[in-house]
Amino acid sequence: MSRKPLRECIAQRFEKESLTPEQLARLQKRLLRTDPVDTDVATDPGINAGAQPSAPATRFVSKHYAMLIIAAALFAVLALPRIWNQDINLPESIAQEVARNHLKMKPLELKSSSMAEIAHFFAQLDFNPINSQVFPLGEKRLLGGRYCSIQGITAAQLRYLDAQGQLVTLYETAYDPQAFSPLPLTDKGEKPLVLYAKGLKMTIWVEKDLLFVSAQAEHNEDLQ
Amino acid sequence: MTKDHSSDGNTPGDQALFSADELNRLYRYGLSLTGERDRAYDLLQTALEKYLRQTQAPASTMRYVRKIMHNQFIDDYRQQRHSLTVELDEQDLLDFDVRTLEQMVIDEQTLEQVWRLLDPLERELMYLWAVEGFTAQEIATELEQPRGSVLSRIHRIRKKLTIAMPLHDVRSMRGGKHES
Repeated sequence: MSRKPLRECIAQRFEKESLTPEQLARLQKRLLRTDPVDTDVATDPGINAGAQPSAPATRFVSKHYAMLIIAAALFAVLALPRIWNQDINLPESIAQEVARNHLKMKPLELKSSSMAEIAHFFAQLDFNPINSQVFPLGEKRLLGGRYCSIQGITAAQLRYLDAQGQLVTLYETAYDPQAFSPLPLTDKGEKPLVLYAKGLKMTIWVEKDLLFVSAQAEHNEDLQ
Repeated sequence: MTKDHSSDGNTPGDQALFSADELNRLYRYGLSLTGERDRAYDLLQTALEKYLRQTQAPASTMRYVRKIMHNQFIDDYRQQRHSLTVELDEQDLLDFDVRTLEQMVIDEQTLEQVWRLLDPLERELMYLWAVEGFTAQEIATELEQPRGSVLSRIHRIRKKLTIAMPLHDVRSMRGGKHES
């Protein structure tokens, strides 16, 4: 077997690895939807040494509007038929994404059973996380939360422990019918959509203009 | 081999936030830490979400996102009850530098064996050295660690290489010139 300088060998090892086209497209789509939060608090000021003052918001916004217009025009011309087909399967795609995240059980960024604390933690979201009237687990079973995303849109992930000791994940994000396709509006008496993904029961509904997705094991029918 | 000069000073409003090439570089960096493709993607995604939530334009976007990824990885790793403490051994702080790695030659199979022996922070160091082209001082600056910690880690990597590499390679390594 041929031997090479260590540096070259390591570099080649990494060059073989790349994001899949789907991953790359998802990240780039997310980056196009940038919506800077109106706050003066940097995520981690400690690593922002030498930072420059914020770029003017208008420049930031106009740049992204231009990019969005170009992207929208391209989609309209090239991919509209595909988008229609994808919309039909969007709830399934949402369920798959949330199920995948639920199974990963990434560490909570905030551990708290107080919805007020949770809401405060998620201050950088452009919506206010709330207790759902549809979701049966209350604050007493709340464990905490972390930031996440659904279909590239930033969301709050809340974790609960049900009466059977199983972890249940609830996602909340601002509901955009165009991004998420029409989904059941429980405020209008519509029943939540129930799907199965990766062996999990996924429930999707819209309540008070927020999209909710819960993920739980199938046997947790009688959550209290 | 790449360095971050092209990204230095970018502000979020200047151009597309990250090119495909930059996203792939960040992904590879994540891979050096996590050792797993899915986790590397998750780490990158989480870091980009955090990056998008900040309002001050960092001096170097690539460095900034790498730092978020590094901190996020350490947080996740610690929450999984692993320990990533750097054990500083005075004996390790001898005359070692990344240049002691320069003279080494290795085949892919041996590299794979060695790679499995390295912990995440050692893999990160190797990535920064081999792919990003950083010197020991630049790695120390990037990771905000004392240069001695970096040298100590290089020394441990070298020891692991010595164990895994065939005898004739070890002899050639020992014949190498060390930085004083």
